[in-house]
Amino acid sequence: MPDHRIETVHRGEALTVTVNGTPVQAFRGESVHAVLLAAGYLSLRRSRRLKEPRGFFCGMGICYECLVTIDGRPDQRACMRPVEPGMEIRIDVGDV
Amino acid sequence: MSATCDVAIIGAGPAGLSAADMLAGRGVDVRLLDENDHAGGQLMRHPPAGSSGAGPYLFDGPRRRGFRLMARLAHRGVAILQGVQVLGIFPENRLLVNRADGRVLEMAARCIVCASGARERFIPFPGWTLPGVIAAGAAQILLKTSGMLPAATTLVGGTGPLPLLLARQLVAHGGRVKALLNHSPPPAVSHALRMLPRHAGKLAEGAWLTASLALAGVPIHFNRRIVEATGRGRLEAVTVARVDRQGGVVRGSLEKIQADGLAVGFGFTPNIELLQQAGCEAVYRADRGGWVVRTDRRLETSVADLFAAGEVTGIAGGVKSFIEGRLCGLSILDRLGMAAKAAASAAERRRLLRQRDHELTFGALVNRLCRVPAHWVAAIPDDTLICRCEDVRMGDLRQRLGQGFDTPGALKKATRCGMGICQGRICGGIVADILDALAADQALYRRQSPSIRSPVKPVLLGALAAMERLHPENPLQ
Repeated sequence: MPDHRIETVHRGEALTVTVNGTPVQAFRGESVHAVLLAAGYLSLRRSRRLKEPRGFFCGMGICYECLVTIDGRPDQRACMRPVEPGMEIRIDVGDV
Repeated sequence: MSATCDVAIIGAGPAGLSAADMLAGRGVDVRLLDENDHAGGQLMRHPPAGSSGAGPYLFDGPRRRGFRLMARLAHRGVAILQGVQVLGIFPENRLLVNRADGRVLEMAARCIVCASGARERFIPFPGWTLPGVIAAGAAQILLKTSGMLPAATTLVGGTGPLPLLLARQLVAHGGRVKALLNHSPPPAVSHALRMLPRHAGKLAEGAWLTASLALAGVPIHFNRRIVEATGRGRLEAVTVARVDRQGGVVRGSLEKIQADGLAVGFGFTPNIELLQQAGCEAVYRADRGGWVVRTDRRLETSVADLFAAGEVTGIAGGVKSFIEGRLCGLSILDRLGMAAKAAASAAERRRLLRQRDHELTFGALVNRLCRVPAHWVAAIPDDTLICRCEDVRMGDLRQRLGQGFDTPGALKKATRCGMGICQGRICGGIVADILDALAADQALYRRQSPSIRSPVKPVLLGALAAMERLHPENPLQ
């Protein structure tokens, strides 16, 4: 599966995080959202009333659609957090 | 870190950085508070050290100017606090701050500059909440900071210059762009073309982008619009339709385009919630992107010692933000009694104000390009979600509007539209457009700016309860 990373971009140090316990490769400087997108996680949660799948939308910390649990802290905006080695990311409703 | 300083600047984008540059050069104790993990705002988004990023950028003069500014501030050792949210501004210039580590504390400054920038506007359509449908700006951020494409195949749509720029950037980085759907209304496009002599440089950029996109084989449609996004759990296809000269959908012209990404943008609106919470007067200016803060020519708001710079005074782009940051800096030097020779400072101010007026004229032209016609908004189907946080549909709003709930506040109480975790930042502008299109008395809701209360961003109650106060005997009101 293509991971959407642009080939010509020189990336930072490779590192590993986990998504719902599964190891996922990432590169320093990428946002948590970018790492999730590259690994194929599009649906990040369900909407409050209708329980519809939702994912990353505004990309700049405004819409709160990309909330995930990071290292045990719930409701973190995936678009606003740079990825760190060993980060444990949890998605309540995954679609992969 | 001391909890008091001369000047607290909220937002380290073009405006905030320029203000800091002006003040720090004169020895003023400045502190920049920024919500992102890197300074630079949206304009100077960049990959981290050690990676190359998805360059080169097009027409990036303002961006390069911003990087020079950031280097100068770093050299001077100006404090930029990242990952910090300002939750409220209170009397006696006190700020309630949520730090990156989750601790909430009070700070105070002799003057405050609010340079909190802008966010995108949207026109909803059925399926716009499906994973895979993203903001045009979000796609650009993915490119700029993470060197990543938003999807294998992307359709780009919306109004104004951003979708055009994004489509060109995606193609330049090997992305597949199915088509660009330009929804800017033809009268606004003709108006922009008539202004060509005055803004030749920027309009030429648009022409160059359009031409190079066409040369790359990307279809550009001015007479087709997004009708619906569909897919099982994620975006799979976008239905588009031809529009007639009045902007109405031509019956029988529906066409389904397969794509796993749809990037949409309909212009920008100022982030003025913090200023509204502080009690600053705001005014609705469609030509400036929506609700903007009212300031005098010194960029001071109606609240003493609280200044505003950049997109919060009206959407006009990065260059105006640099100018207003400097203007703000001059005004505050005056206020602190640290201004250079009065004559020199007055001449500089006049020059900056002239440049600002020119940028505002161009901004008005772009903001007009970004507005879709009212009948488009009026025709949003009933099952379309308007408030993403609380799952409020167009039909809910239409029904309540018919019952006389015809202000944003009344609609919010009746339907919960705007009551969710984003605090109405996404649906607020949409509701204003809906009222424009459907309310009996359009002037009614424009008389009073929406009431905003602290905390203007979500915060844990436990963190608020453990707040570190400046004066424990005199708590925040």
